[in-house]
Amino acid sequence: MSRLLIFLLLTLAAFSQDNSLKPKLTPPDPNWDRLYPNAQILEMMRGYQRAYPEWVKMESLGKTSAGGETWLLTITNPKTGPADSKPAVYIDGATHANEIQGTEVCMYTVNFVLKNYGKLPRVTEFLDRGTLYVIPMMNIDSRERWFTQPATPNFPRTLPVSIDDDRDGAKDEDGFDDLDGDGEITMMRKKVPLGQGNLKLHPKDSRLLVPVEPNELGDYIMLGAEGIDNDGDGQVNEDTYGYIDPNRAWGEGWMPRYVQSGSSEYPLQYPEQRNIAQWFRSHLNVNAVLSFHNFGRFILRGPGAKPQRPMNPADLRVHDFLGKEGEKILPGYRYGNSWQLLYDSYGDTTDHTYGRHGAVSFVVELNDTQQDYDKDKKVSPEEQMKFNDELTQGRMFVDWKSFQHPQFGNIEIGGYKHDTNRPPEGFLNVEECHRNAMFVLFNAHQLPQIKVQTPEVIRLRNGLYRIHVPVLNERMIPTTAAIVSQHKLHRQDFATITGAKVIASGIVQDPLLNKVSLQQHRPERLVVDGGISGFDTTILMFLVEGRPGALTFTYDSVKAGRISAPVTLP
Amino acid sequence: MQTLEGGLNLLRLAHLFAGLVCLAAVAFSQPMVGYLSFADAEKRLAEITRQNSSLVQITTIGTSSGGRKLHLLTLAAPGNSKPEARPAVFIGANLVGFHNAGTQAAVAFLEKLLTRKEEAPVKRLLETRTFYIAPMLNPDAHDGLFTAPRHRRSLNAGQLDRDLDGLIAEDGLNDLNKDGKITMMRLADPAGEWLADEKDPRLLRRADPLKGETGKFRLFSEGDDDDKDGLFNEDGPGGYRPDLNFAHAWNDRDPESGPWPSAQPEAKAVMDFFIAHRNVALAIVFGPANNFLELPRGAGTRLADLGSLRVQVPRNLAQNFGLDASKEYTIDELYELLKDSSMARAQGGLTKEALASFLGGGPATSPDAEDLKFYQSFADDYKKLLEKSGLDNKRSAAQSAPGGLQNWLYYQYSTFAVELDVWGIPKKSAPRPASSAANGLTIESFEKMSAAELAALDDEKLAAFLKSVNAPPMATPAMIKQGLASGRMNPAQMASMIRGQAGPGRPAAAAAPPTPSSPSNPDEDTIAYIDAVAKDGFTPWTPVTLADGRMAEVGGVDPFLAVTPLEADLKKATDAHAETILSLAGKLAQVAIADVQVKPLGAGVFEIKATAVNQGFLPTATRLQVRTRSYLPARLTLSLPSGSKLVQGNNRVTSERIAGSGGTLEATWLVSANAGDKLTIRILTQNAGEDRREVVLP
Repeated sequence: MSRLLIFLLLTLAAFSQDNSLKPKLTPPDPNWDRLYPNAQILEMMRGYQRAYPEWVKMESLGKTSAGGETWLLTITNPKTGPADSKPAVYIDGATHANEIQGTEVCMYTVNFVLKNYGKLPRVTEFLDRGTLYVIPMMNIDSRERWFTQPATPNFPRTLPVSIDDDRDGAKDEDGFDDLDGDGEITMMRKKVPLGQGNLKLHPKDSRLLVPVEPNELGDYIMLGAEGIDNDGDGQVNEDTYGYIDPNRAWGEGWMPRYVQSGSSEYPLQYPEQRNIAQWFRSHLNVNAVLSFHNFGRFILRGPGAKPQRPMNPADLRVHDFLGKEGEKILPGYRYGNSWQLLYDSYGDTTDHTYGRHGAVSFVVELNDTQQDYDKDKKVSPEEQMKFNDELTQGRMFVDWKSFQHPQFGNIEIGGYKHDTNRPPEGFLNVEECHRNAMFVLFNAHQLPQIKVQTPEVIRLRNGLYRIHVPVLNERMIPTTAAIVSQHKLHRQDFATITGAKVIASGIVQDPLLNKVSLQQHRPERLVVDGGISGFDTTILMFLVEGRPGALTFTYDSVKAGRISAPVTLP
Repeated sequence: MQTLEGGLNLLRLAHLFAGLVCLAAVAFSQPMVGYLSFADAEKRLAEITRQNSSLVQITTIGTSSGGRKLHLLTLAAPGNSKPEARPAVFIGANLVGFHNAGTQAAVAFLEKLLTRKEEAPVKRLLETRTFYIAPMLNPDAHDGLFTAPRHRRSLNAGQLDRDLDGLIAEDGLNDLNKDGKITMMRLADPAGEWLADEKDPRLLRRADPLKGETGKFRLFSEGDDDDKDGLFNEDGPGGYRPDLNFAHAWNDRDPESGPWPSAQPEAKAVMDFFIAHRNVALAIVFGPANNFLELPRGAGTRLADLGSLRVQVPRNLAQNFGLDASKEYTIDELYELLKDSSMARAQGGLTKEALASFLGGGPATSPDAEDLKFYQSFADDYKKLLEKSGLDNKRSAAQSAPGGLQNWLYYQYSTFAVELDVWGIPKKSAPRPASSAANGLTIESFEKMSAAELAALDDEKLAAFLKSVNAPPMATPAMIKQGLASGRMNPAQMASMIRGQAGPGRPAAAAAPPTPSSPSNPDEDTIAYIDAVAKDGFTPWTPVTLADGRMAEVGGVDPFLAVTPLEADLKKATDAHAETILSLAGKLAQVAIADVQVKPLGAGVFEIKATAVNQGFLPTATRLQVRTRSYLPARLTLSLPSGSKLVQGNNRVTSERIAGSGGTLEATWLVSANAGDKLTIRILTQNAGEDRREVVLP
């Protein structure tokens, strides 16, 4: 290695060290092999804010349904411009309270960008030219309840709003009950006389039940999750805490409850979503949205439901690129739209943030059941139990214990704990967090980046000039999505020239043949309909009357920011 | 250029002054006589409340975008149940902003109720019903009628960049001819598509290129191109339209409909009120549509009846029930296949509604045929009353707006909801064709009917209609209904088939659809009304000079002519509507315990049979509610004292809908109890009242 090269490398190293963030206080240094209750997440958020007070802003967007708050972190380099003026990525977690580890993915991303600014060029570039908005706990009240009260992997999930699920005039009067007092809601099973059941014990593992063959008699039945008939109506657990699904409550493509179960009475009825939707109205600089859910390993885009209009092809191309690259960053994840990969979902996050705000939007479904030993793409109950026994030493499963049930008589209670299967085991969560944070940063890297290329100025006669300004977007996300003009979401990009009188202006369709689509009126304010696509250049034409000297060209985009460059009239 | 909002106070003063001087010449330049501005209406409501404090309460259900109050009056006399537990009638007005006639009708109803409060039927209504009255639901737009220049306004206060140019309120309407109102503007332009009508120079008609005609004018609303972008009046002051901000069939491509349903404070406040007041059994919406003169035809993109909805069955379900997962079934077909299946038994019975909901059938988009029968019945009474009041009942009327309150109330909140426009320009008094057996059914009205409406027609009437339009012989009533039921054809497609295949002798004129009247192209009714009644309802075309020096002409129909009756008609119309509401309020469902039978079976076991009855005319719920399940079902319950218990079954029997005019809900319980035990039987509903009875065991 030549001395010069070594010198250069040393200089670079010194340079990057100089640029890294110097915390005012020691920042949090969490372990990512565990799930954090709300208080610890909030303390972590405050910890980053205190450590990097100029770079991290923590604010509440308003109260939630049960008295919590919608906490938002805003992260950017304050020296390169205000957060709201830069292209931005928005991420959130725990929309569904039981999809718990979306929060950790969010916080991992926060930790990663703050600690690697000035060290890793892509991270540095992102915080210099962009902004990261993070709502780690959208459904904060129910997430708290998942930690502090008896829960299941699927419960509590929805908003902390009482709904009369069984329509008997009382709300939430017959929920789950932790009958054996072990702090977990597990399952109930009952041994019945032979011939009265549809299940039997697994021949090798009495913790498992298997369906009987058509020519066999069964002696076991399953009785659902742990609970009793609290309200004496002959049903068990039929009206639990919740059920307004926060991911069926958004403003685009919303449907009422008889079409979409879990729906509210009208879109954005509750503050969890309304706070955020209102905030988005004044933060149109958000170009990319990633909402972290679990599970199944999917990168989902809109439309959420089959009957909805398909996505505009230009915008689909952008989603496809990002989603398919995401499949490489996240092995085992599949990219596609909700209704094809999962089910119809009306009024969900991606439909809203894409359809109402024009941002590229994904719901990421984290994690999948561990562990497919025989690689048949299915995890059997036996495989799940083997994983429990060998890789967690039995942590996940509560063994069956007998219980005298007021309605069902002698039963057994047991099954998987609430913090199993949907969230990965700790040792797997670290990789899950890292890879997903890297997918966020991949989206961040593809935020629109506009550059004004060298203008071509031709003097047509004394005092009259034709200027061609090529404007390049050197990343994948367009400066304005096609949906923006389709749904009239916000103003178009526009370009101006100051310092001379603009006689005419237009968008160059073919620079070689000099084909220009002229703007009929107000040439001094050239509207760039549809903005500049990803990895593309648009050439803007101005016919100006002026004297030799310097003019200023400005390109102004809601989503890509504002950029100016000098143009010289010879 | 001055905008409408930006003070034309001087002009307004001058206008008011002129009004004082010329009061004698009552004509359409003074339609605001008798109409309440927002401030006047507020004063009037406060006064009424003060004078009737034992009956009337005034509250605020929200605040408009511009910070004005959304007032709500609650009327209920002391009675056996609390106001919030009684079946209620909601009357809401002028969400659209320019429908001031609706506000007048709401206030007139309020006053009529109070002046007649001692009359026995009204007194009884006040003791057994609750009336919620919200006369000004779009306060920010309410005063368009009174401002100078007078203009139809629907937008609440706020900001919206309609043309996406980054500027706000930079190009609104302008009163170019300074006549105190916004009419139309025509610009001579060889590229225009309009011609002056030879028969009446006031009117314009479209040039017909097939007759070699060339257009001479382009037509705009009155105003200059203030921002010089080549467009007229494309981005005026004001925010959004609360009247289009509701969740059923909301238009996601019209920015004035709001960034999402419920985003506008007026719409949200109204919905929140309804959600908190499930006792509303009937909602009268005063707005620009009339659901009685033209029955509701549906709103939303997927027009199919429940039974003919096509759905696919998920693979696992298909396997279990021997269905084909790759085939699309109608709900009717699936219901037939599955109604006796084990799944249906496990669910305690299967309904088409539950199937549609479970299989992703999508939302309802046309009124249920059963519900339409009630609309039809009320419409018949309404038309008779209009005729008796000397008001036209044959005029055309608009459908309720997609994304509007009436549609939300019927399709999602699921109550009987009726939009009424109070008044409209009467049909030109030409002799009308004598009614035939087709009973007024024409190819035009046929085309506009929903599948449900058509299915509800009787065969005789349909056959007479088919004959009258000279339909081909294979078009029989049975064939028409079968085509509808299968979902393969809708009425519009059928109408076009009938038109295309009609036999010889069919009148050609019937094929041309009628042109709707609009301020730019008023129909003959409007012109006749102007000539006969509202003398200066038409501003003659007068030349004006635009800012860029071009000449244009301003003129046309007064913006409020079609929605704002003159004083005499206003009185007649508001009286008739007050009568209509009083009559409808008497027809709400009302439940009661009709009968309880106790039969000792021995060994301390008793059989209790209870029957609840709906004493009202309307059912306890719309038929659509059975599908939407927006209300709680009617519940017949049994409460036992401690020491006694149910031998079998559930202490609650429910029904989604108890039919009107004596429909019942029955329950039979076996109880193990002691003689002398007191049992309580209750019938509970959200919007048809409650009742209870106690029985002592023998």
